[in-house]
Amino acid sequence: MPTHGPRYRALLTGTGWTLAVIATLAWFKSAPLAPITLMSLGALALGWAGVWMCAMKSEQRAARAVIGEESRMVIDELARVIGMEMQRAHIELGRVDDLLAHAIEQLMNAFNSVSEEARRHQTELAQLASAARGTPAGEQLRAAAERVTSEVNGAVTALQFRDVVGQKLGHVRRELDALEQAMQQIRAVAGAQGGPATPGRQDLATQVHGLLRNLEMARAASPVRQEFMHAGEVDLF
Amino acid sequence: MKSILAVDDSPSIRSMVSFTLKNAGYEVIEAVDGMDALSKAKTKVMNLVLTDQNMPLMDGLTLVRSLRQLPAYRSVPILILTTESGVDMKSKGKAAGATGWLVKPFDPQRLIDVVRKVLG
Repeated sequence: MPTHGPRYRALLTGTGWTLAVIATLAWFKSAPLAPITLMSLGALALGWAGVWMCAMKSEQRAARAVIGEESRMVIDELARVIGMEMQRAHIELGRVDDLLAHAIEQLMNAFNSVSEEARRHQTELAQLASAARGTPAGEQLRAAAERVTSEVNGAVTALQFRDVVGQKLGHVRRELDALEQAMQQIRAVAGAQGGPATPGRQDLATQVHGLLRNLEMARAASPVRQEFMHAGEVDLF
Repeated sequence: MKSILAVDDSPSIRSMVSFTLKNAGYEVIEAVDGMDALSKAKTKVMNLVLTDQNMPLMDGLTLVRSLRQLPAYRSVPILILTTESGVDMKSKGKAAGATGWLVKPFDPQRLIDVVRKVLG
């Protein structure tokens, strides 16, 4: 069945109205002509104005529907592209995680053998320093033993980067998931806005506010605030 | 020899904690998460528990609450070693019954000092 535009429907309605006015005029042909003609012309003009306004509103609604459909298509495309980018970002994060795991494995192996060696030297240095106590050589040996301890402790602190970075990566993953969910919700919201209004439907501003709040919560939930690998604070209750 | 239960899902952290505390003369038993720790804590009463917060299966705060319900662990020091440094989380730790809160990364000497202090 062919569909007709608002202007075509308005033309049909207006013509119908005109015919109705002419028919009324013919009905009253026995009455004095001038007032009836004037009234009929007035009714005709009013009718055409009403029909024209209805046609304009109908056209505006149609235009809005077209814009809404185009917006939904743009949002769908945007959601698809962002979804793909998110997947790529997840894959890259996975690669970073694998690289870190490999690096820490090698570092830990190296640390274990070096620390074993260092512990032996440390003990020997301490024994020699003790034997040479009070002499310049003894002082030098004591300082050397302290240096070894300090270096090993520094390595122990630095080697905890895997855990700190791993948790940060986990948080970035959760943020990406939240963004992806937000994009899907925007897609759903855009689709729902084009449909008929229902009593339970929230307005766009409320829904967008909810999405932004969820994103903010996902961002704020980071378990890692460290910017450097300096030792953290200690609190005893 | 005093025994310490070191709980962390990160192998590198478990390794660093074990290395530090064993060198300081403690026996260290490792657990990979809260569930594993609870199971090991029931088989042997430890002198101290050092646990991470964010772990799979059971987190640190849940572990602390569970341990505090066991009569043998009412007065055992429990330290939380975590990347979390927020005041809110620390308050939760205190309310759960933790003895102290240490933020990662830890300095080995500071960890040993704290352990010595809480063990008396």
